[in-house]
Amino acid sequence: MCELPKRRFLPSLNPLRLVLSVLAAAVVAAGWLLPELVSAIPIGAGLLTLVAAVLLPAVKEIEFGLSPGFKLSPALKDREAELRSVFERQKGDMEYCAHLLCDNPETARELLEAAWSQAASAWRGPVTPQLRVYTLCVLVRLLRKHEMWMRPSGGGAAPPLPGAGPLASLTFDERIVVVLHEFANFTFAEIAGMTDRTTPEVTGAMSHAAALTRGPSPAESPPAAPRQLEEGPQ
Amino acid sequence: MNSELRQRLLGEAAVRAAEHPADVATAVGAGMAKVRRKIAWGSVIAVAVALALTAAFVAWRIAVIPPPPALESIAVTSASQALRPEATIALTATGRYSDGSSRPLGDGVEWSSSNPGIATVDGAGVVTAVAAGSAELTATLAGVSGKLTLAVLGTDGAELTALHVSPETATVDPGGILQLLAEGTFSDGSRGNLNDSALWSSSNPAIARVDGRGLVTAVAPGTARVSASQEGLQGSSTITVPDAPKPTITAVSVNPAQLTLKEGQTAQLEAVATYSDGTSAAVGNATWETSPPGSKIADVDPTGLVTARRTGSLAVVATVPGADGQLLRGQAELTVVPSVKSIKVSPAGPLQPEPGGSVQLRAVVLYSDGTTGSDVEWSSDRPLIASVDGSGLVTGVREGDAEITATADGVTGNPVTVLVRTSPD
Repeated sequence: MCELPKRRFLPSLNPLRLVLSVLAAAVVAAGWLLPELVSAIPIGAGLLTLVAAVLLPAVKEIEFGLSPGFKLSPALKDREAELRSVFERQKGDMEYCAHLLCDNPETARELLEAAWSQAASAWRGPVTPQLRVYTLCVLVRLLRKHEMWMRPSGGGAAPPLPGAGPLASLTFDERIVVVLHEFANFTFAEIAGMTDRTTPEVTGAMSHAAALTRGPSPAESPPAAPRQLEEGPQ
Repeated sequence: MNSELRQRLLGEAAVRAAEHPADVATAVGAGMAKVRRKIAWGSVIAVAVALALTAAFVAWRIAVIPPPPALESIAVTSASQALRPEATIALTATGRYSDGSSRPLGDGVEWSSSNPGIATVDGAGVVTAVAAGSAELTATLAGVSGKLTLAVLGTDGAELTALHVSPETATVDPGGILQLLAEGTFSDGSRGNLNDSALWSSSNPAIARVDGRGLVTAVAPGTARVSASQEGLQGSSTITVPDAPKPTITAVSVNPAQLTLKEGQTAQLEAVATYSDGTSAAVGNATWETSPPGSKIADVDPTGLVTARRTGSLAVVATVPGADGQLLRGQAELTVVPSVKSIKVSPAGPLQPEPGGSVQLRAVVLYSDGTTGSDVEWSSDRPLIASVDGSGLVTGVREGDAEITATADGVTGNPVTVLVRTSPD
């Protein structure tokens, strides 16, 4: 399961928004005292102020991680530039993982771009190192869906492409475990969380895969092996 | 996984990545486009919800609090629709509302007459008949009007059937006046003003007297009945003249308001009260004090006697209880100046001028604060021997002895003996 950061409401409660909220509420209350249709003016103005000056900016900040302020376009551009910069630094790592997970290079590229797109639209709040985990998680999810669609109707795994490497001989779940553990340096617990499986299932898959790739068993696996596919500095 | 395999796999992945490079910019751009759409739709929905809430609030308010009933019509009524010239009558405007209720209208009603030459109407809806004819009187409020047609009849023909004096009872303070109104009702249903034609009388002119037009003047406390009579009919009004209200003190002053005393001198102050009826009189129940209290410049005793102690200025305040326990204050400004301590006249004498000759005397006045002056009054005990003018110039008149003195503030300086002698030459 790909986890997004939790919503953080407190930082968005700045003094300006509090004052505007109180003022808008006062205007609505004042409108309540006016007779009949005239009351619509202050009530509407108060509610629109509440929505436009308090609610929407807060939602933009909390939900989309945009910088505070009333101007939307510069905030979106800043956000896009920030995400692009981070993804550019992670690009090499991500591309290795995508191509290690998928034998079809064109499909790997398309799914990686789709993962970035989804991560850019769904990521909440400020950009943190957790974004890499989330993007990889989305990529794995997309690959899994793709693999399900490509699976032959009779069941079983899709036949490996001609010239595919030793990873093609693994089941898809084993391949995910091997790539994420060996090349992306995720722990088995992290992999279990990302793939909605239990840790024993992940370690079991790794043991089976290790026999085929002549690698070390999970017990012998170094817990803090140097990352070969580390993302660039953020 | 052994490192050889790892390197091989990485190498293959690197080749595939190089042949099929992913485009971050396009991917992020697509993601941000989705964000833009979300924000746009969210904003539209939020504004729509706000507007819908506003509409719902207002609709709910209108549903919960029904609007005030609207004025639908105005009915104008009066005690009589026929008047005689000079007669006055008050019109009443009654509003009928959309909820079926009706109530008298007061403020805001505009009154007008279609023919002011026949009848005039003032802002309070009081009609005065002017001349025979017919006039339409209109009351307007919030764009809604009501009308009454009033007939002003001629003065002859009809017979007087009733006479009414208004007000029927009244209280008038002594010296006050009140205009009574005698109204007659005639056999044709009209009303007329009888103030000029009726015979006015008072049951006790010593209490209230009335002139020939019904103007009552209150004379003394008591009750009197003022009547108007015409053609054997009579109407009356009971006039009560109450006791004159007891005047209350409205202000206090001190007499004199300003005074100057020399050290050691005394002066009697008096507190004067001004009453609500405009009179004023000295009061003996004043409380006296100096301001600032305990001043060493002067003392004041409970009777208002001020004693000057040393030079300076201060206020002497009199406090008198007024109505409702209120304390009223008045004050005098007191200035204490130094007193004459001694006077020294020089030359000391004896002097021997010839008749017709003169000698100049000088006086130095020493005051209590150590200053000096020369302001004295000169006098001679025998002006026929030697006279002295205001500047101290002594002139021998004839042979003889005289004594010249200088006096200031009751203090006399050393006397100078003048021996007027004719020179042997």
